[in-house]
Amino acid sequence: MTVKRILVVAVLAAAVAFPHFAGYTLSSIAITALLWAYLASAWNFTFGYLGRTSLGHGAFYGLGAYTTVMLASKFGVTPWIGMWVGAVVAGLAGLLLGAVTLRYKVRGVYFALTTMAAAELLRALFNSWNWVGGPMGLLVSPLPDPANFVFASETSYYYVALAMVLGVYLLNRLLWKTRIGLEAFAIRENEDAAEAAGINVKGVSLFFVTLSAALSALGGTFYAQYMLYIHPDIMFSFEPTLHMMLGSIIGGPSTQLGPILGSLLVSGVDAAFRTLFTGSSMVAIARVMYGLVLVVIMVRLPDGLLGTWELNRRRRIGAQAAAKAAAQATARAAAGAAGAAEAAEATAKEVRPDGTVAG
Amino acid sequence: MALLQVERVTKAFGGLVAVNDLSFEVHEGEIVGLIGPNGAGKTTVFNLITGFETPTSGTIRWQGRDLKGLPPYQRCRLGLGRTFQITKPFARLTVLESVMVGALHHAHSQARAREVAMEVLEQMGLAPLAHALAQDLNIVQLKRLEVARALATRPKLLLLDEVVAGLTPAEVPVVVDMIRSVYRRGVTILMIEHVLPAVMTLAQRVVVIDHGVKIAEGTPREVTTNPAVIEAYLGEAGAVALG
Repeated sequence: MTVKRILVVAVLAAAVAFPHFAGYTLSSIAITALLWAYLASAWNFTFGYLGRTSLGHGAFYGLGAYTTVMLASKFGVTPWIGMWVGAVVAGLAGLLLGAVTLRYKVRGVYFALTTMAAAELLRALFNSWNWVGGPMGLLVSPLPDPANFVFASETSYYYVALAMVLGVYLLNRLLWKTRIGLEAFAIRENEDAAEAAGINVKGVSLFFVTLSAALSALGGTFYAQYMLYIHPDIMFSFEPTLHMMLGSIIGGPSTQLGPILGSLLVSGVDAAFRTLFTGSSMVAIARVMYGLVLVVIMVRLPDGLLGTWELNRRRRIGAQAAAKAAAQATARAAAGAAGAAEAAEATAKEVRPDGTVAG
Repeated sequence: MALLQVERVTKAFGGLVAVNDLSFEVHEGEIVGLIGPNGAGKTTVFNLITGFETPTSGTIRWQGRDLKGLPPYQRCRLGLGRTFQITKPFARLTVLESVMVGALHHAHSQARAREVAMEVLEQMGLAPLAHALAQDLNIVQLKRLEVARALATRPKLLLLDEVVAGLTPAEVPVVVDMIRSVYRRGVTILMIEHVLPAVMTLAQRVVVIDHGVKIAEGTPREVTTNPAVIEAYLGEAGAVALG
């Protein structure tokens, strides 16, 4: 416990100190990595909790960015407020999408395609809607002004991104341990069984889809304020969703830290390959190698890096507890209870040494 | 008053009438068996009672109240617990977590649900496996888990869908004892069973359906000597041979 605490403090200290030692390039890489880590966690509120694969989180990400930038440029609302309006707009969009897909029992690959279609629809709409910039996109006033969420230094952006990652992690941790978190996990594992066990599948699912959409919107705002330019083909494309999925799935969607660590790893490997291999043919080789690394992880560890580790840990704990109970039953049986002996034998037989249970 | 009343319920899937004008009641403190040959519509009856399917016509009452329009999770909270014929485990959750899920609607917090779940696991003899993953269980353990999860919801009536089917002869008495011990704790039971000896030893009353129609109702002894029941199970030749 104390070792764990020291480790947490050390990681936090390193994260806070990082921009003071890193140069501009490293800081930029870190900011992007943190943004994807944040977004992977946001996406994971639908995938990791509900088991629903959204391919259209670009819709929420884009709505967040566009709402903030439009409010700032047309109505002079500071992005610090606009970002929350964007979250509400995207949350409502998520609620609508969730309600429609739940109402018509759109699941699995059909749910995935529906979300993708929603993002494509918004991309087409924003591309042809001149009031919001149309195919020209929108520029954010580049004048550094902390009151308007535009900073002169990478360091400030870094700290905002870090705070977002910490915030989403703490929220995740909280939900994990509360009633609605476990209800969602039951839905993820089996919707009908969850409903039969008294869980309001519709209500819980809507909560997480809405939350996931609203949080993604905040990431979209950050992107807009950091890059200072948004365009429908960037915001509503599949690209942001791809980053979210990769981080979550590589890290482990059914773990608290998986999406964050997975994203940081993916971004790190990507950046390393880009830096190590320069020159046009080498860049191509780097992209192929990057792809291969991802394929190998996904094929070998379908629950993600942390997820596989976590499942194995849980298996081990379960097996140890069962073995201990069996030993106790054996001891009782030795004291004379014949019935207990049978029970002990039955339990002992159930658990193999590798921790799996005989079936 | 009856705990559960099924009144003239019909369910048609397109042209196929799965349940036809079916009526029966379950009273508090009973073990009622719902039997019938393969494809008789037994599971459909369970799905109608628990709200996973909507009747084409007819009424299902719970303690006198019409259940029409209530989703399954609300019926569960009223005291209607069920298991599934094909077990539906929460594969990547532990046995303890799976049972906690059932307790959440009345326990409100994970901590309190954990206490309730531990009690249920003790009762069901699953406590040693509390921290095992559901995906690592064998079939008998899965059936126990299915019942434990339903029990954690605090049901007044437990609907058991073929918990004995698929077990080896040696495992049958173990599960029959388990059902009896659940009943002794004051839970009324309505069980679908394909394995007749199991129902006959447990149930006080049996409802027999065939092609969605009730063909007999009575004590196990009464229905097993009923020519219509024998015919449904064995065909006309069997009825003649036994008659």
